[in-house]
Amino acid sequence: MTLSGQVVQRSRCHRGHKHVRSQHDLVFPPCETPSTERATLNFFAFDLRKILVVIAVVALPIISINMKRAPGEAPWYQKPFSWTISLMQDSYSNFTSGVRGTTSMYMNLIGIKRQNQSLLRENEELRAQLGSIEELKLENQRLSKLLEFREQTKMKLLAAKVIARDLNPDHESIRINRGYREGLRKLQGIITVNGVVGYVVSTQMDSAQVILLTDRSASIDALVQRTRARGLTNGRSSGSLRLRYLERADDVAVGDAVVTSGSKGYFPKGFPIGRVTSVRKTDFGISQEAMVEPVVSASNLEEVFVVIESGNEDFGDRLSTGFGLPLLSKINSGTNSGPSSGGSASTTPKPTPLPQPAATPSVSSATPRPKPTP
Amino acid sequence: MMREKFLRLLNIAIFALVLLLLTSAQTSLWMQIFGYFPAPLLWLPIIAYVAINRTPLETIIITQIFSLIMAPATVMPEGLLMICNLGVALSVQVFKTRIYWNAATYIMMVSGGSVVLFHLLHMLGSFMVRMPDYQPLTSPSLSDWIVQAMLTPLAAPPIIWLLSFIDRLTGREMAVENMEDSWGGSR
Repeated sequence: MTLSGQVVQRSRCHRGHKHVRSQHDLVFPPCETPSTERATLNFFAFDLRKILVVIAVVALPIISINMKRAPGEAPWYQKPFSWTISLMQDSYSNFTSGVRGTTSMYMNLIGIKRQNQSLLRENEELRAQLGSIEELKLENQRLSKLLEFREQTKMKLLAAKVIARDLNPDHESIRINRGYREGLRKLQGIITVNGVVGYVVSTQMDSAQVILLTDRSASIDALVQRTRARGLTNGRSSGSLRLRYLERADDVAVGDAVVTSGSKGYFPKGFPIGRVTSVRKTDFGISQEAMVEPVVSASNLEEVFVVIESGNEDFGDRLSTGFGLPLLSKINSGTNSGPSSGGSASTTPKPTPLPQPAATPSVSSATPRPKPTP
Repeated sequence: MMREKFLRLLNIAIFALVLLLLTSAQTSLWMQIFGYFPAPLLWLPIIAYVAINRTPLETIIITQIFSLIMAPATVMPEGLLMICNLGVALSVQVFKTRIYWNAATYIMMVSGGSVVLFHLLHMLGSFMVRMPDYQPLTSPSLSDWIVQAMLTPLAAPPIIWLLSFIDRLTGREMAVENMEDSWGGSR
């Protein structure tokens, strides 16, 4: 209704222009409005909702940019989405990784048996190699020690390998792989780095029979290192020795080192034989004897030296330094701290005259001596 | 006749070769594998076999030859070794005339007994030796004796089988017949 009381009806044409129809008009007037009037009408005919939407769209980023928030923190309105998305992504990720893991495990299982067999075989091979390397290492250590010993001595030595033992277990002898072709002769001394082993009893072209110190038929001229008391060692076929024909007045005590006398040059002088384990002196008689534990055990002999020439080598001055002779140093420590027997042991050496190595053994008229021995 | 003599000599030669192989195995191979653990006395089953399957004269000759072959493998005096081996061989022969049965166990038993007898003869004989530096056996290694007396019978059957095979090859009919009985049938 207008101010004049007319009833009007408003409508828009297809161009968006507003048209008014009175109650008398049957139809709306045609859209033929002049251009100036049309422009004026368009200018004011804006849609308020559109404007509000535009303002909101423009304002929202401006507001969100200018909002103060903690660095790294998502805006409050993003939080639910972020949480949901992250939850979903996490679930997907877990699912896919689980599937991928199961698939790959299954794929691996196909080849795992073959791989296991291959690894087991490789492991066995490596173990075998390790065993042989260990054996070589030990052999190398032994041979290095022998070489070092040979280089540091004046003696002319020939290395030999033990190839056999005696046929009869009641005899203690070994066979070495050197014979008269290499210059071996009867009675030549056999030693190791640690001490005396025995001596040659027979030679063949490429081998030689060596009687061990512990055989009951073997005897070697020996000295008690501390007191220079002289005697003769005899084997007992039980892994021990007897030092016989010691003069009754000789000072011999348990723990004393027994060394070679070096007479005749079959052995170097002062080379270790063993250690006194007990002394036996009867109430009567002109001699005494001592039990001696040899420094070299026959049970682990593999390589030995044949003393081709002793070169007047004297180990007496090297005993205390333990030169290349680990067992000898043990003997010396045993000598100094070992228990004494019969109250005759003393830690200070007795000032007895040093027996000189002679071409023939000096035989005491009072003490019975057997035939010359190495 | 000539062929028979040749075969007899061939038989002894092959036995000697087997003896050498077994002696070497005992002294060297055993040591390489088992160290200084007591080895079975592998030559004694051979001597026992010879004593059982040969005449006394043959036994004496073969035993002495074998002793000479073995002598370089030990520091034991040759004479003492010969006496000990001969003592074992003749003892087995005497024992055979008293007790005998055809079975492998007989050879095993005789081999085990031979070990003990050999050591006893060696110990007794060592007191009779008069050589410079030689000492009698006063402290025998009894544990070694026992181990050897147990191991030697175990090693005897294959050795006896080999010797009987050689006998068969060289036409020693008596020995073959004996061994056939020993290793399966009965007389």
